[in-house]
Amino acid sequence: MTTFFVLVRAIHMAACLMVFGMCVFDRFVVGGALDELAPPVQALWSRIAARLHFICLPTILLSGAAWFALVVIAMSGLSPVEALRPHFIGIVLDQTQFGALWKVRGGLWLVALIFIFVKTKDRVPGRRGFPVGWVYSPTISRSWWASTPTLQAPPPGMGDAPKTRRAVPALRAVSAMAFSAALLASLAWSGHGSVGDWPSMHLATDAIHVLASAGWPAGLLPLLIILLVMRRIDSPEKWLAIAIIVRRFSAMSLICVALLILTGIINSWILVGSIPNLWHTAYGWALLVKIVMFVVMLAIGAINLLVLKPRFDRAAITENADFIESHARRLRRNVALELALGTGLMIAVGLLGLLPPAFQAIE
Amino acid sequence: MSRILRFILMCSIVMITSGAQIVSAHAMPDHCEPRVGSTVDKPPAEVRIWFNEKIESAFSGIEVFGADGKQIDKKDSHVDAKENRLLIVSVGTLAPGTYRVAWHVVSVDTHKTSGDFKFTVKPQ
Repeated sequence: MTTFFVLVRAIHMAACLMVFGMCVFDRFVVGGALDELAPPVQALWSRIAARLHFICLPTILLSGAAWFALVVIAMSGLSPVEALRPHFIGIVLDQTQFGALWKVRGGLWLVALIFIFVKTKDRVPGRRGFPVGWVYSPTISRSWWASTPTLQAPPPGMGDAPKTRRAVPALRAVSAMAFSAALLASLAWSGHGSVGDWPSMHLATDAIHVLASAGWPAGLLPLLIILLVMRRIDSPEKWLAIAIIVRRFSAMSLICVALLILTGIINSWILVGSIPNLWHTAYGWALLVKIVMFVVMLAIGAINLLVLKPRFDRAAITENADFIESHARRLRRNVALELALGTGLMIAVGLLGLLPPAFQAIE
Repeated sequence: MSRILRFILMCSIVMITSGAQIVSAHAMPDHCEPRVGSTVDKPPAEVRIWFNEKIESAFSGIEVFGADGKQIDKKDSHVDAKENRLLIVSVGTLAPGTYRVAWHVVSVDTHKTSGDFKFTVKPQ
């Protein structure tokens, strides 16, 4: 049951991270670069974003329901068949902090779903639609479309002349981001956030910690998907688009990593209490594994930032196809590795929430 | 890369399977009245346990048993309205003897814990 609980928590947290992470990636990585990106890249991104959102949002609902059911079983101390009856479900929903939290989170999920749906509909009108909110760059001709067979050609009359940008209404995009952020941050109340000597500070740092992790490492998934899908585009101009996206993602990652380190140190200080507690408790060991994975991810990220990104920027300008492709391959491999470590890290987080904090275990 | 991925997978499996052996111990008694293992001169009217975490009233309780194993508390255990770390049960007038207090709580972060202790009422 504990193993299943760890997995359910990890899946739920990862899905919440991805939904907010996609909003962040959309606004600060791709959205901010819209004016510099060619229409096919924007069309590609709109489809990736829509698909990821519509995988993650139902996953949040299902894993959230499973998490709730597991808590009802654990709290009642009964078998699943006996525990999952309206009587106990009602008690947990109406008389416990967890039930109140899950009711609030259910509402947040619904509102986030509506805003994300409206936002996505605005950008991707049809099932295989064309994004309305695209920016037509006069410097990029119709040949762009012709060179991208996997993408749909623009509707008649839309590819010839510069168009006025009809951006996604800012309020809808900001609302989608705000509600998905609230859905993610509220996870702080479901774990050890309210224990320790400084519950308010701990809840705040916990919330900032999960929000920052939506930028990095969660943002690595859309980045990897973009890098993989871009392989299918046979145009030299795609390298410039990739260089822009990688540059913006690196800038965002730096801020997120700084926040993760700061809030991670505060959280560890509250929940571990002392350095020896790290190796004298199960919580400490799980945290050490998480820290090691985080450091390895940071090292790979640093290679991407300090070695690959500058070379990529230079290569995108010089347009040496072989040189660029070899760097793109390295970049894809590093991002995939970081993402694999991030998955392990999520499982460690799922486990940490179930273990007694080190300072309690020692008592 | 596949070797590194295999290592990560192994670590994850070890962590998950080690998790299966862990008994969560979150909300634990901070102190009690009467104290754990104590001998009291005057019989207490209530047994009170303060926990180190906030607890859920709906799933928390105390039972007090006499030496013969019969439950002698008034079955009115509740979390204090002002202090949600304090669990109380009334016991009426206790005769001299040894009593066992069994408690079970669910902390607000959803973890279930339980335990017991004894105290003795001294003959007058």
